[in-house]
Amino acid sequence: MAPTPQALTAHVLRRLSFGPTAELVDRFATQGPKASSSAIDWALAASPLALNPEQVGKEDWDPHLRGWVDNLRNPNGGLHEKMTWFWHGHFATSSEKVGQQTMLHRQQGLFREHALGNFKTLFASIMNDAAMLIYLDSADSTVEAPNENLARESMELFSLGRGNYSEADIKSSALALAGWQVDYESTQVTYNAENGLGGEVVFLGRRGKFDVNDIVNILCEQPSCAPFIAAKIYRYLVGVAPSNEQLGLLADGFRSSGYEIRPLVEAIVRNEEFLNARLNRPRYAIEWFIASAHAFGPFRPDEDGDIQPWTLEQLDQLPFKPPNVAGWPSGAKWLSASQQLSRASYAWSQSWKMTPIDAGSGTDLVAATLKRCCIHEVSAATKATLHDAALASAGAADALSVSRRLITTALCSPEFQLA
Amino acid sequence: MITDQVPQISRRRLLQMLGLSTGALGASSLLAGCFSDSDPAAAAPASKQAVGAKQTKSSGRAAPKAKANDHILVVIELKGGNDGFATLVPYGDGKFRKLRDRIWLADDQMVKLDDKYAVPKGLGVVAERLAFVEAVGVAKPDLSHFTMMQRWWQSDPDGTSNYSTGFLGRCCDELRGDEAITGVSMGYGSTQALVTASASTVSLPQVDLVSQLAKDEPLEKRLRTSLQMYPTIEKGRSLGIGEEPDRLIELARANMGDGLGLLKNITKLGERPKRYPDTELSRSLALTRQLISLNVGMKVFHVPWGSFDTHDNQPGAHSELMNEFGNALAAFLDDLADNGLADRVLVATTSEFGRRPEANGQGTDHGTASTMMLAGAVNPGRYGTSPDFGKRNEDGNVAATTSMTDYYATLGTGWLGAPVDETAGKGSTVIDGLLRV
Repeated sequence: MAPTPQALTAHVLRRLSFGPTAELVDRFATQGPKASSSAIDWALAASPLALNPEQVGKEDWDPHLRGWVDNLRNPNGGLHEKMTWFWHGHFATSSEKVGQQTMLHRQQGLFREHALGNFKTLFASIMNDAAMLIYLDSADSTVEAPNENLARESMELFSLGRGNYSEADIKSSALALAGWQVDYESTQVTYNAENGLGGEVVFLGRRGKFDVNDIVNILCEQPSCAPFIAAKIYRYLVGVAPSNEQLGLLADGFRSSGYEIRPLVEAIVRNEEFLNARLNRPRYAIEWFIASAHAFGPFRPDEDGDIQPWTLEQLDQLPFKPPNVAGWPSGAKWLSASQQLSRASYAWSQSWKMTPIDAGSGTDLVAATLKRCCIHEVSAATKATLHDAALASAGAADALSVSRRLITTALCSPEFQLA
Repeated sequence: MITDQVPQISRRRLLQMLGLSTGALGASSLLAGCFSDSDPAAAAPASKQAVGAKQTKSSGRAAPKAKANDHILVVIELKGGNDGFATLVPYGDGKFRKLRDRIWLADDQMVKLDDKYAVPKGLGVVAERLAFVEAVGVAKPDLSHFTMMQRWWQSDPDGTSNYSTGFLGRCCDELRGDEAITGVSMGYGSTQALVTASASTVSLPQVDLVSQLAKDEPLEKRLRTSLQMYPTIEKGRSLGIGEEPDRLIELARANMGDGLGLLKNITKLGERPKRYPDTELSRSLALTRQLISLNVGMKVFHVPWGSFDTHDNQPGAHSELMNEFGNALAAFLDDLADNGLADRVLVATTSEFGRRPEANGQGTDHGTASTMMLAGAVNPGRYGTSPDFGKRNEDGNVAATTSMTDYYATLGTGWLGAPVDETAGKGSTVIDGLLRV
């Protein structure tokens, strides 16, 4: 059976934004056969949401967390917000170690600025970013005692992947990257020539006097760089790995564009395979959390505290706190029993703040619940479970109690756990 | 790569995937209780079916061969690469001292064990109860966290064994009881260490959340009332989109059932014993002891903890970690003793690698061999051979003197009684005299 416009729209919005919302699904689904391409156009056209300037200078984690979660919840963020999050996972940096929210705030600004911009520019900025220099111990690294952490991960995780460099390349890169310092007071990054190399190294087959930009340029010249990044973005958006042939084409395009991210993403999503890849990967906790916020009711940007962003810590995906430099893992972790239990308990405990589900006249509560949660491809078992929940609470309870039971059941349904 | 975690597949789920099961088949005794309030019949067929399941299973993979003992293994994974040389410090070794001048701890920050070895002050509270195995590692080490984590999780010394299960997972496969959850991982998600072929394992949510839920019995009841239908509906689950969505739908549904089953048991645990400090590791170990006392067949506990990647600020950061470790372990060992479990539990650390002997400034870069710690049913003391700091390879690292697989054989075979070929790997041998068995 061909998927409905609602199903396709919901898929596009799940993958290319932190949606979907029932309103947006409605808006595009009415366009029938053009629904999915309109939704893709909308997601690609979204303009960057700004960082909240009020957070600047605040060292408390809380306003920064709320600021980011507000942006995630804003449906206007579209793909831009989704890719901002991708880069936070790719260039993972934890506030737990950096301990300076001002620096993390600035780093997030880089992700927002370059989310769909140029990878090389973003990479170079990150390699000189205060939070990253501290997180990967490059701040205060000296030629006398070079620190290898950033040098290693800049190849293993940020650009090339394993097997495409040697331990000698790591040592050379660590020497070339030595000399940078971060002033904790001003958060400024400065270069201290006394601690730097000022001489030549051999790095990935090239000999020369290299600075951080040269290192990034040489990394981006490597044949493994474009496929490594393209494959990772593909997996994030499509849910599976690309075929070798696809990856070759995407990587060629990415490289020849000078590492422009937007055309790469467009090539990935304006493709039949993207539309067919529905519900083929688990929802990350952050995706589930924001989708649940949409399901509880309309987006209310002025209301402080209507959702509990710190719950994301219990869901293992708190912004600014990736588990390690590799970022958050993908895969079945997000369906584990513990994850499911955490989601269920949050859904129930939060549901009393929801806007009750109004079935209107002539429609049934189950259909209204599924619509609210944007579940447009649903198993008979889940439908039956929702019917049971509706029946069990019929008669006895007020509208909110019925709604709470239905929404909790829907947010815990297998379908709602998938992206 | 850490980013491609393999799903943990329980026996029940495996059978379901193979189309061999219906109903509440194989639900563990722990989970079966989940449904017994509302539907006593749902739990009943479990044991009968499981017998059939076992027979079916033996045609594919061997049934457990291990002679069951009542031993329990608690593995604390020191994430990020723990500096073994700062854990058991060879302070009397002149060559070593010279390499570490930049980050040398003051005398009052160490507890000397003899004229050659010391431990950081924070380990002092448990030092006399610890067994140390020096320079554990692999013959051909790699310096990537993610590569070495994989090898340690799987007991795959050179990364060529193509295991689809983890070392601890294989121990569970060999030791599983008829129904019980055999393995538990604590805190942050699940790791490949505990991936099994057939045994049931669970990962517990963050310990804070557990204790919060444990206090809220009405919450647990309401949740179960709303959600108990999911685990019992068996038909009509295909979305008609493809195999992968259906597989994930089934996984999500079954795990939600497991989660709710866990919730019921969690509410039985009660408050965290007061003797434990309020730290992450302490909370995990306290919960471990409480779960052991439930006596529901859990034999292997995996506790990933910490950020030991001390490229910088090592003296401060590592001392703090050792402090938390020492206090948590001391409370755990005392708690075990008070509950009559002292002879049944072995605690052992792992870490993907150690640190480089020569400091890089205020920290240390990735190394190879690391010192491992064991407690509980051990004969305290020092095991293995000290590395020769005069012999360092081109990366500046020393060679391991005890192999990871021998270390694992000591845990899996020496302690748990699992056959060595199926767990640590062929040819591995148990370290002599270490265990108190």
